Amino acid sequence: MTISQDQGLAADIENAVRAVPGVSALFRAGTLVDHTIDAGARLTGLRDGSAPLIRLDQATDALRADIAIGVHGRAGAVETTRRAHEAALTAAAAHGPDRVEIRITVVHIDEAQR
Amino acid sequence: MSHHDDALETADDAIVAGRAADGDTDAFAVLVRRYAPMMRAYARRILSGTADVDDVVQDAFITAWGELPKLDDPGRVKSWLMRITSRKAIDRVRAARPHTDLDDIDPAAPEVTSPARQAEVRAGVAELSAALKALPAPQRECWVLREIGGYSYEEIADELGVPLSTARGLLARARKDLIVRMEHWR
Amino acid sequence: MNAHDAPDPWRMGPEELDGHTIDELADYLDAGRSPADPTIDESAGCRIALDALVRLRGLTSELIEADEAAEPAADDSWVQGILSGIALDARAGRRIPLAVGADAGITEGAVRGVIRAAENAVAGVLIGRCRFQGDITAAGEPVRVLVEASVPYGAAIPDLVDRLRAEIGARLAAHTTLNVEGIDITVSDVRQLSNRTGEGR
Repeated sequence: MTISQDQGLAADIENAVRAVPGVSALFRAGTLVDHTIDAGARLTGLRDGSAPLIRLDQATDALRADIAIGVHGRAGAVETTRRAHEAALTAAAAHGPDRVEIRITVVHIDEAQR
Repeated sequence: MSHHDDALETADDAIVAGRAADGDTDAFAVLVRRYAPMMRAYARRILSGTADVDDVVQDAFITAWGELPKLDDPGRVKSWLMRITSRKAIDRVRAARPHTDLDDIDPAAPEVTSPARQAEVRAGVAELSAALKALPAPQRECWVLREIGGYSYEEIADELGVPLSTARGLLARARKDLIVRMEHWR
Repeated sequence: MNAHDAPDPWRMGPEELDGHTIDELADYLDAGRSPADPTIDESAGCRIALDALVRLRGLTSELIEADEAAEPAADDSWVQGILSGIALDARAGRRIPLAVGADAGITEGAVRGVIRAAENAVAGVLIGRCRFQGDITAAGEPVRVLVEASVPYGAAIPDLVDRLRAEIGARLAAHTTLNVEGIDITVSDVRQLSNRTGEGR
């Protein structure tokens, strides 16, 4: 994939995940040196408008998308993550035939009663 | 943001430090408010008066945040914070003092103290304050680490990077100097 | 003390202190003058020096208090300055797998926040440190959750603890797929609600 196609894919996945009920925010996914190390998202209120928060890495036989999300307290992380994963897969599939692995980490639970 | 949840503000050190170690920044802010004046006072007594007390204490808190999860007993956070403070203050003092022969150090220049800070204390306390400031820096540092920081002689020697006998010698001279001045003042 | 003593009573050398050093006297004081040492107690020079050390100690305690009182309280902007210097993501911790049929997980830091937020449902309770027993990174592994809590003075502790345990259990079920074997709550602080003086911990 070219860089612009990657960015398009990341943007699509991001939009799909944001739209999932229960997802309170997207965060910048950290650098994954090792699969066992936590994503370590940094809380960013502001972001560079052109850079998607989702991180794409080329694994051996697929592209992997690392997504870090916040979840509303009332929605529950278990259910929301399940839905977000589905939404991300759907968005990736709509983008093209190449296989995309989705890795989601919940980094924040938003307890605010709004 | 939250304006100082009363319960957290007055909760026990163990609870507050435990939460802060687990990532609660509100709890950490409680620790900052609770112990900043104590740490500033302690740092001020160690530093020669020219270094920035603010800097040292902010640095101490930032280090404390990082090391809090390693603190086995969160209930001991107060003395733990004091230790970090003196470490930072002594680091700063040693960086600015290239000599290794501590006998050559001249007495500190008198620090200008704002009238407001001296106004309320008893005369004896004010005299001790002045006597401390007049001590040569290495003696004063030893004395402060021992009498305010609660360091053992070995810990003082470690912190200042000097032999144990030097630390004991400096402390003995500090004690004598202070006694002489205070008893003559009485 | 009479006129035949050495001209300077405050020389405090080995002669004046009958072979002792000022260090030894200070250590003797620290030990509460116990076990009693007659070579110190029966030495006039030592007693004079000890009295002076006691006076010095007394003034030192007052000095410490006065020094602290003279320092400004940490205002909000100063506190914010420190918080902004802190690496917030350092507390994320390990990644705890979520068994939802996908590569999903939740950070340890987020789970700790979930446990702490349980206090909102039980009035007056404050949660302190949380610890996990068992490998939370191994899916399905039984884990125990250990929580320290603070309760208000006069509260019915068993009742509060039960409600807190139920609340924590419900939250963990909603936000994790951890196999929680048990939730151990230790009440480590009882607060006087009217206590605003703060110090003396």
